[in-house]
Amino acid sequence: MKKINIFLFTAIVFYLGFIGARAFFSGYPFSLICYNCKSCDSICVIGIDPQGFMAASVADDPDIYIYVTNYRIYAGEAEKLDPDMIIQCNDKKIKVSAALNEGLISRDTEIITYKMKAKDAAKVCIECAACERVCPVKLPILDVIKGLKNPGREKSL
Amino acid sequence: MTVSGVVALIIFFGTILASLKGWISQRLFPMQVALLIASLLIVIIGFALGERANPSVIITGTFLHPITATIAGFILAGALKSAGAFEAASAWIRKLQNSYLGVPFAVIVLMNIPTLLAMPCGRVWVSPLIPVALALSFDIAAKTGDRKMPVIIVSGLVINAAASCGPSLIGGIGLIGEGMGRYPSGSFSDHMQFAIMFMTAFAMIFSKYIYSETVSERMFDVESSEEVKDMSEHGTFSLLLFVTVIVATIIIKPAIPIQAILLCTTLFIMIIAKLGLDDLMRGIILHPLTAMISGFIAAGVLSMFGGFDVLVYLLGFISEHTPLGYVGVSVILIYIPILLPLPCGRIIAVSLIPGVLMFGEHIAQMAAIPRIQEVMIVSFILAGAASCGPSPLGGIGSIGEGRLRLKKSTGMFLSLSVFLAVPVAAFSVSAIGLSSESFSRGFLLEAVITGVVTGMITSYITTKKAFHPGGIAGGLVTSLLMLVL
Repeated sequence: MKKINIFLFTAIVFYLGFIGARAFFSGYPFSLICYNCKSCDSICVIGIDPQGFMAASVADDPDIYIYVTNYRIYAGEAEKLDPDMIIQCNDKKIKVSAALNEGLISRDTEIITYKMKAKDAAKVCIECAACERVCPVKLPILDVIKGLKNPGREKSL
Repeated sequence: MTVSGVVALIIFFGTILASLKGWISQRLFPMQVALLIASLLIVIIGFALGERANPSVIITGTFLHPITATIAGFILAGALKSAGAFEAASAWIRKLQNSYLGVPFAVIVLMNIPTLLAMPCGRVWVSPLIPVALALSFDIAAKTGDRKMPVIIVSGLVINAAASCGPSLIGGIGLIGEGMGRYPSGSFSDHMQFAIMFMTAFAMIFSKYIYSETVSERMFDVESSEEVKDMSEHGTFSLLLFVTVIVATIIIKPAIPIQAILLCTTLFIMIIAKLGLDDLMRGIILHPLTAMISGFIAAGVLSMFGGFDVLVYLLGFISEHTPLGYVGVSVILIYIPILLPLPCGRIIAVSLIPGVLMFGEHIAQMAAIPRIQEVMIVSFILAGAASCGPSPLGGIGSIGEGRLRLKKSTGMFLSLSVFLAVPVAAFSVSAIGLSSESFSRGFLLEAVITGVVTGMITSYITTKKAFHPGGIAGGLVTSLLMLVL
């Protein structure tokens, strides 16, 4: 039993190292510094939670879902972009594909997004840099957004 | 709501409860191991039920900030200890004790330092301040004969530090709520700071009158036999440097991570006091760190399989189909962080704030009182920020329990003090409202009431005299400084 415990404790320590390594491999090691304070969230006019971009960098995964709560898009376009995108529909948070299948909306309906993939969120960002200005540690969030927008850079994320 | 989410939630709650109640032997499976095994079980069952899962969710759910802040705090504490800063602090506090202001002034100021100079993680303060609190409390215990004094003072300090990440303006949890709810930056801070002063006073009362355990005789003997060392130049300098750096950080708010600031301070102390790496290592305690990481992993797995979605769904179901209704469920929702105390309030805050905002908006519309949403979000965040105090999963309370060698958990009475302090914040928001402007008549009145009441409680507990000038002066100084800083 002692050996199992030692193994698992060691695994916990290695896990911490693994996260650090992932952030370095993503090319944005500064994402490790993020305070997760969401100061950036309140300032974004289209409701993107820019802390999600930092999370995508730490995980080295552009497909993680982040909050985008004030972006309007036609349901058909949203479905084409990502059928699993979560939208706000009749006070409910639901996948766009499910909302279409249940007949709650049509493909021509303009919907408001709730959560979308980090790489898709980067594409709707208008790069006003408001998030960078309010960040308490002045992280270069736009660098990550530009990396996600650029397909070449995206591969390394 | 998915089956895997329900299973994940049951396993997660079950593991925490079984570990707390001792049904899972800590000797066989420490909390960290139990949580990892539970996470593995959730993953296996989730995959068996055909769920698709993205492991990145676990990584993104692991917040590095409190982990690195803890490590930086431990390293700095090791340097300060080796340089003799704690001896210098103890000597100053002894001088203060013997002054006109006396013990209550020293106690109330010391315990409220974490909230007064709020850091993004309370662990930054706990490591350096616990040795000072221990020295002060054993001194008072020796003079008054009250053997509970170390538990009383350390508990007050611990819950104050735990909750202090809530009002911190440099990356605290309050900013998450302000960000997600789109409220003015810093508008939650003062409400939470005053409530934390009450929380600290409540923790002192409960540790004195409800908690049965005191520190062991052996520890009393060890602490009493320790020679009173003279203040060294290095110690005094290190202490002054540390306090100056922290105060400057709070006032200037430089765009430098607090961890980097702490490490640079450590390096400077190392050079001045000629310290080696071994001196730094003595401050590091691995248990809370490993517990925190395993807590993050378990919460990440819970999130990956929709456990938190199930929780929100269940709350919605209860509110619509039981006599509790939306109001009753809102109260439960506010207190979920202390019902489910995780190692860092950020986990529950990020997972449930959208749900709290949704509930708040619903009730605000029903009652036609828009301020209800503000009351709910501030109350929830205060409960969330403080929840790392009573958390058995590597919470700040476990650092205090470890330093005092207590066998019985302090979680229950720490939770109770959070439970009672949350309505203080709720009342404050409902009466004054949210504004980033601190110098209003309402806030000044609240500061005076808070300072006087908590000062009187501290005076009574430490000297048996409620109207001690030192306690009331200490309370007032602390609460008025909270408006300024």
